[in-house]
Amino acid sequence: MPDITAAVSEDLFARLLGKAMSARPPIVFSKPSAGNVVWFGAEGKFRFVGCDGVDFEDGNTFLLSELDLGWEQLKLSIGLDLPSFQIGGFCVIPIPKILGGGCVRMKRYTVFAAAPDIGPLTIDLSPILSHIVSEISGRCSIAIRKTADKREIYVTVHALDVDLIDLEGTVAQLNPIMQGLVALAAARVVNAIPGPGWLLDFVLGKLGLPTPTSLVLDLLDIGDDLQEWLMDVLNVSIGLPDLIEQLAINAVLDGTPVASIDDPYMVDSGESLTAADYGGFAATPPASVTIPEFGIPLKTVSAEFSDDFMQVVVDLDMP
Amino acid sequence: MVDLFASVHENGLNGAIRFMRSRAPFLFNYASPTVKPKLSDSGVFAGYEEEWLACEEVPFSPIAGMPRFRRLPPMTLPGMPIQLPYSVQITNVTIDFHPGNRIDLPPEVQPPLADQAFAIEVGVAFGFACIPQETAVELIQQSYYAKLTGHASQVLQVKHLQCSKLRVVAVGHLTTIRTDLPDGTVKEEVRVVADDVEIVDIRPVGLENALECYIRAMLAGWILPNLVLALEPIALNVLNITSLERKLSPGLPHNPAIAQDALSVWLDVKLG
Repeated sequence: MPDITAAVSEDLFARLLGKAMSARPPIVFSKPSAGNVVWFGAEGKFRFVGCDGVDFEDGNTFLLSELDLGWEQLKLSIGLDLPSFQIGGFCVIPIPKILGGGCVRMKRYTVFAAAPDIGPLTIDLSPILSHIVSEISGRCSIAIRKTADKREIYVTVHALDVDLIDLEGTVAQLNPIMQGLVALAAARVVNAIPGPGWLLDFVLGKLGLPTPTSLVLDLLDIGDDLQEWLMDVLNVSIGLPDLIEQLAINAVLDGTPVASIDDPYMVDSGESLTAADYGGFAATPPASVTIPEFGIPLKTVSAEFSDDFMQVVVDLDMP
Repeated sequence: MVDLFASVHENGLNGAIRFMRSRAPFLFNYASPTVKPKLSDSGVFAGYEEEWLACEEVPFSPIAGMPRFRRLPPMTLPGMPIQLPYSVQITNVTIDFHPGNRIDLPPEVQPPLADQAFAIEVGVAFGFACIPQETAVELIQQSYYAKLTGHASQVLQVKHLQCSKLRVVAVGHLTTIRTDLPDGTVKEEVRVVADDVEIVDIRPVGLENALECYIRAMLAGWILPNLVLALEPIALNVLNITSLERKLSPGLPHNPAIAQDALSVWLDVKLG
């Protein structure tokens, strides 16, 4: 029989894991923008706020059902890098040969020459952070490692699945945010087209769109459902789930101690008197002496799941 | 719904007690020391130094700086102008959780060990200094002389103690007291009930009864409650769980329970 047995329920384990995770500092990331015509990037800061459930399996693996992310910051950056083209340069007034030939040409303009032409435009999604729902699930296992003064029960990740970013309910703040973005982008479009005012209409006409706003809406492919569009950008275009998965594995979940056991297990004698209260020292002590702390070393510590409990078995090393 | 279960097997508990005896012997050995003359390098009397005598040898702890004895106040006898050394040692402590299989229970405690009961066996060695009758008067004279010369030894010098050993066996069980508090919460206290205490082979009966009464009070009031109270921290400390609130899980026939040679407790935990 083991010297000490401690068993932790699934519910308490989930709470311990959630507590251990939420104690970690927030994770900050920056996904640089990249792409062709339209590209998206993101900067964010999130932390784990709790774990709603685990399911112990036979052996030492468990299913992590809902590890919740709490967003503290999420900024979306958008850039439009349109194919550049030139207009103008054509002959407006031909010059007779008698006068030397040639022609008076229209000034040549290069449109959309910058990279990116529009942006990066940053949308701060702070007003809707409370509506952004993200969860991690997956299969993990536990293992035990020995540190200088502890035995730690820690989590290792076998496979993770990050639920797609979802927006909870109807987000009223989303509409003005997107309207602001589109207006800003449209203004940048106007600035990106050089030359006289008629050139803007010319370019838009060439692109088959009546206004800068319609150009932006067309490029970003923003339809009627703003929430669906934003989720698609975050999940697919930026690929936040994959990013969060890697961050979770690398920076947070892998190696997180769920519980730890002091080794040696310190025994507090509760004695704090002077040397005069004691005797039989191996060598003459000073007048004031602190009774040394001592601990019982652990021989073996093992942990496994059994009957919906994580069972931790400790044998003391007492020669 | 049980959140946490913790169990300590009697083997672990008894091993831990033995380990503590070897590492922190002062927790088990109490004495009032005698003295012996201390001589300088040139062989001149240089005062007295303490000598810690006991009935059973107390090895030095492997932990540097750990004392072997806890000091007790010296004993005096009426009319004797000198303090008397003595020692009290707990020579062994054995705990046996149901079913009983480690302690040979004396008939007075009605073996076998009952369901949900425990037994504890404690060996105690007492050592007292003997004052030879012929030296009693001399002691008084020495004391008078010492006062004149300043070479006073206030403690009787002896080479050994007169020793006696007792074997104390107690059986008991746990009970949980629940008290409704004014704020609507329930306070739970696990108490130890010492059902029987027996000092084996001691006479006369009156002395035995008096000592048993003292020991019963010590067991019920200090030793056993501390033992049980230590179990909850073990359960939580073992996993380094900081808890705001914990309570015994309800609905179990015995919680804490003593069975299968182990003391077990089931807790509901609210994390801090």
